[in-house]
Amino acid sequence: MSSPSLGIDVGGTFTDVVTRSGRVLKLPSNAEDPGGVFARAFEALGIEESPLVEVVHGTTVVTNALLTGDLAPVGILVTKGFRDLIALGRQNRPSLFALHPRPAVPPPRHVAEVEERIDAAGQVLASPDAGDVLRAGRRLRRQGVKSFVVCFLHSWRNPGNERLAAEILKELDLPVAVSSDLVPEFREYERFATAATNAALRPLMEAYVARIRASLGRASIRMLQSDGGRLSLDRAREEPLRLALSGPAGGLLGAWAGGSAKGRRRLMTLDMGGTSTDVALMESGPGLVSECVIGGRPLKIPVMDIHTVGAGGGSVAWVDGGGALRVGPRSAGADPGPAAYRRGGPFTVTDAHVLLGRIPEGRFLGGDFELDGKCSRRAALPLARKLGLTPEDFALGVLRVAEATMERALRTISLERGHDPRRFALVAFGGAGGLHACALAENLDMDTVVVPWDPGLLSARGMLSSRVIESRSRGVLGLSLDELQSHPSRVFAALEKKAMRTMKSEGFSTRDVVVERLCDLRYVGQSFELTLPFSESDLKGAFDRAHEARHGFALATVDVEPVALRVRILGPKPGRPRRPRLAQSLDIRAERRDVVFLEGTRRTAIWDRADLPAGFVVKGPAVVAEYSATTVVLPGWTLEVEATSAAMVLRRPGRRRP
Amino acid sequence: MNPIDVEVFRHLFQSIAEEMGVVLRRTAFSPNIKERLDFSCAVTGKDGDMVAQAAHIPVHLGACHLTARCILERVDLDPGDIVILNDPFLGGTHLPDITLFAPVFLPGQTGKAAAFGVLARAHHADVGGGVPGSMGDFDELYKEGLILPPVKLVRGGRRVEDVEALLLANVRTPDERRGDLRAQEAAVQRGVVRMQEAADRYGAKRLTAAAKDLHARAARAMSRVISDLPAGSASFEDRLDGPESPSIRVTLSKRKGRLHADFTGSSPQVASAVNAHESITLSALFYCLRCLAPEDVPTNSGLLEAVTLEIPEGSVVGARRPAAVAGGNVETSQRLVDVIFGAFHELLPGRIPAASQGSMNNLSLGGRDAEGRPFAYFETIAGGLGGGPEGPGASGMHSHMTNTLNTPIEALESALPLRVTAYRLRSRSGGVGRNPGGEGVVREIEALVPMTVTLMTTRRAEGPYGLEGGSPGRPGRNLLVRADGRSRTLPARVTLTLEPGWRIRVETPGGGGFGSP
Repeated sequence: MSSPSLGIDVGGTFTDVVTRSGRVLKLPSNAEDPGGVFARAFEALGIEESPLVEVVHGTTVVTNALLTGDLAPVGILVTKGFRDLIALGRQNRPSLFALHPRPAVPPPRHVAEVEERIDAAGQVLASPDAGDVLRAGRRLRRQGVKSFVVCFLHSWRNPGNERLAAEILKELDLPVAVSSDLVPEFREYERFATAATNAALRPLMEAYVARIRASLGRASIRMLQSDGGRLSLDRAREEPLRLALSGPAGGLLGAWAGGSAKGRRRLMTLDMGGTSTDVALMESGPGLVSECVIGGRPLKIPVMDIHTVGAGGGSVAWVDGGGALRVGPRSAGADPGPAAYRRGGPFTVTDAHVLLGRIPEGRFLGGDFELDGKCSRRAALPLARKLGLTPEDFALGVLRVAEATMERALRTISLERGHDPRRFALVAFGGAGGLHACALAENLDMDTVVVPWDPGLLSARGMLSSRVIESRSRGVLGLSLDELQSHPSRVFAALEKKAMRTMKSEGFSTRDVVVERLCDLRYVGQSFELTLPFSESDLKGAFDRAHEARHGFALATVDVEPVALRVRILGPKPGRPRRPRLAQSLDIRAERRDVVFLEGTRRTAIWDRADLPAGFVVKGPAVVAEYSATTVVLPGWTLEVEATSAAMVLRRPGRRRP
Repeated sequence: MNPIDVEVFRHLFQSIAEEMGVVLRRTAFSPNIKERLDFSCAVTGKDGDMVAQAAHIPVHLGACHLTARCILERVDLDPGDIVILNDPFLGGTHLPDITLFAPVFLPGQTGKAAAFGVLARAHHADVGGGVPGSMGDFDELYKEGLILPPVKLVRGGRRVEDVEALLLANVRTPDERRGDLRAQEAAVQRGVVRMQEAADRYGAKRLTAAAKDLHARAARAMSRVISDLPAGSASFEDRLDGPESPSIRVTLSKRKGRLHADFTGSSPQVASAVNAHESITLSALFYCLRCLAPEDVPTNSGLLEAVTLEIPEGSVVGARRPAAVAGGNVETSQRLVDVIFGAFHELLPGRIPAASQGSMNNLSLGGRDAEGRPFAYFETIAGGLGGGPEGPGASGMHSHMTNTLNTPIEALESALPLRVTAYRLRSRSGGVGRNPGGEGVVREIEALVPMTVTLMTTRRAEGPYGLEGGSPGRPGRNLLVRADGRSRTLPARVTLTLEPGWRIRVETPGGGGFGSP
């Protein structure tokens, strides 16, 4: 129950499977039949389906639906006068200098107004009338909506009117949700949009869950939610939005589990894929934020604090009108893919690595997939000529420009938020993270890079270390810090009770779980909150210190007020998965090839990661190839295979931490 | 400089401007800054040129090089100084926009002058003057609020308390102002630190060279846009509402590879708040040029290199002290864009969309709440965008010279004694056309205590123009609705007192239609 036996990460192209005992599998995904992939994984691994086998499953179905806008029609009931509130959004245009600005997402099509109103203090000024609500509901039903969501102003403070309207709508035999259930916090647009998006995802998730249940009825399955917690299939069906960052959350869990050994508690992550790169900062574990935006839609749910930029292996190099070299945001995708795929694709970041000899031809995905360096070179020539560079200098330039984008992302999550990157180690994963990690670390003056075991399957591996998490929140504008600190149980009790009820229904008792109390605080008058662990002593001082660290100053004489309370109940910690078995033999050899670095061409050792035993040390320049990833050890860096974690740790000797 | 370094440094400068913006937003106190993001940040070069800006509010930044130049000319700068200003005729825009500027001295720089500068400009909800919100319709600058020429707010790292005390004594909501000013200070200080770190890493020389190179690249890109224009010239004229209904006229012509923008023919400056001065006019032109340049061009002063401006002195687009300018910045700037794009439409048929709402629909209010505490609030309201060759205009969106957000209703009603009673699209307000204009917005606010409300709006008499056979968008409308439901139409620019239960209803213009339907 507490230690999942199987992590399954279903991506667009591949499904990654990792077992607790350390076996791994990569299968092609099948969007039509997600359950079938599960069954094949069980068969291939010789696992019997039973309630004792717990699967943790991460999926991109929700993310994809958000990005493509492929959502079910939802009937939205709003306070009279505010029909277009979601369409208006925050009234700004996404692109400042566009001649023809477009909204980021199309406006919702099925909205009806209901006469009702609650004021800012939570007082009911007008209650919804049953006849009015039913008329609105019927009109929406005739338009073909599949469910209703009730979105009334100030419902986070008093959900009475929303619930009353929901009760009335039940007569119409369609599922009904209310905005304050999912997001009991202030800021109406974000709350309404989140609730409407969630409702629009439900039919998709219902079908998905049904198909998984049908093919794997007997195993116990949970899904990985965006905050890194495991979620029951029932909750996933009700709140599919919680899966929006399922895969990346698994990646961070994996990065923490695989990268944090030996007292390394401060990590920055670099997860580089084909079209984008995710970065995150972790101090004693992955951090959370209470909202994010995906595909132009605001989602006010707890998610791991992940920052994404549009630079990946498939990002296309081009020369702009002013004669500067640019990389991305356009991606060559999987088809035609980079030029090296021999399908007439453009010159990409991946091609730059191939041209410089950094991704050894014939080793990509274990040799299953041919890369052709001649095609990369051919694609480079016209661009290099235009810039007056040799193909090698051009390719080095492509890497520098792509790295400038990634560096900016790493600066955003560290320096911009008051963290000194020099005190962090950079954990690189995804297929291409290890190709850029040393260079990025040098640019940010960091001295340690960690490449965990199985960097290309890290998300599935991370799922094995996930816990069941139940989180609840509510807004509390108007509560003073004193009241909160003198009667914490009173204000947290309702949230804890609700969350514990869910945990009990999942089979946990109060003895099994850990309860975390958090509060969002701000200076009276400010609009941005910092989330701090609740404490009965000096919260004001703790907030001042956090504000100083993050923004560079504190306001000792200004009062602090709580804005939201959060409770997280965490299930038992899973046992550690078995440590990967490293090679034993010291009698190993590297192949040698020419690889181009900024310092010039060097005869460079190409190692196979599977051969490297514990404690093995490699001096850069070197390249380490493995099934799903490649790591470049730049000149001046040293790589060591760490016995306890099986990670490769790259260091720059002679650098002192500040 | 090689084409790779250019891209690396462009990221660097821009990320510094953006980080300043993040600091300001997250630490500010007034809804107008923290929720509506009515502020902008930029990095300037040695001679004051804009090197990079975070993509914030166009009317704040198009002429920020004039701000920096004015400071460099008038103030002796030392490390650790921060200069404050809002004087429209000395580097400012209109009085509510308070700018903080810090010089950046770098280790290893050549010369004694600052190698760079960083600035943060933010719209404050009140800077004193005749009406709460400081956005009233007056006949001279002195009535509009406190005027700050460039003076030091921080000297050698220490705040000049006298200056701050003088400022705070002249505004209606001093606590909020102090909080916002500290946030601006934190933002520019962050900018200075980041620029110095960059110099440690790359050297002052390379940073300076990169700024020059980025400038040259923007200039080259704009030159190509200009050389693609047909020979000859095009004129366009439009009017502002109000008793004087001043007209704005521009003639664009291409001469020897340069673009000449001549505003001769525009009306003389008027005895009301809709006067624009040179830097507003320049900002509007900068915005239009940036929209026409390819998306990937760096946004810096280089875009103006091949542009010549002719602005008649003492005109409504080149006003001189002591003209009132509160509305010139927010309203006349929008009309300037309509006029400039109108002329470009003749030169570039098939590219330019019909006019967008052309107003920012400025609403400011203030008074004392039930406990006697003073409050002041300012917001702008979105409208319809013009239809264009690529499709219909967007509805309920901010256009051209502004891009501020709305304040969440739940935040607004929690902070101020008012209630929002309607916020939705205004049906059938977009101009008809093959690609119709977008819909305007209806926003209605009810007073819960007596309060003074000021509206500063335009496009109330005539709607935004359509193009190529499309019809104009519906003009906006301002209404007062009394507690008993009786209502009357208000003028485009007005200050009045609301009794509890009275509502102000602003209906914003729809966008113009494009093409015959």
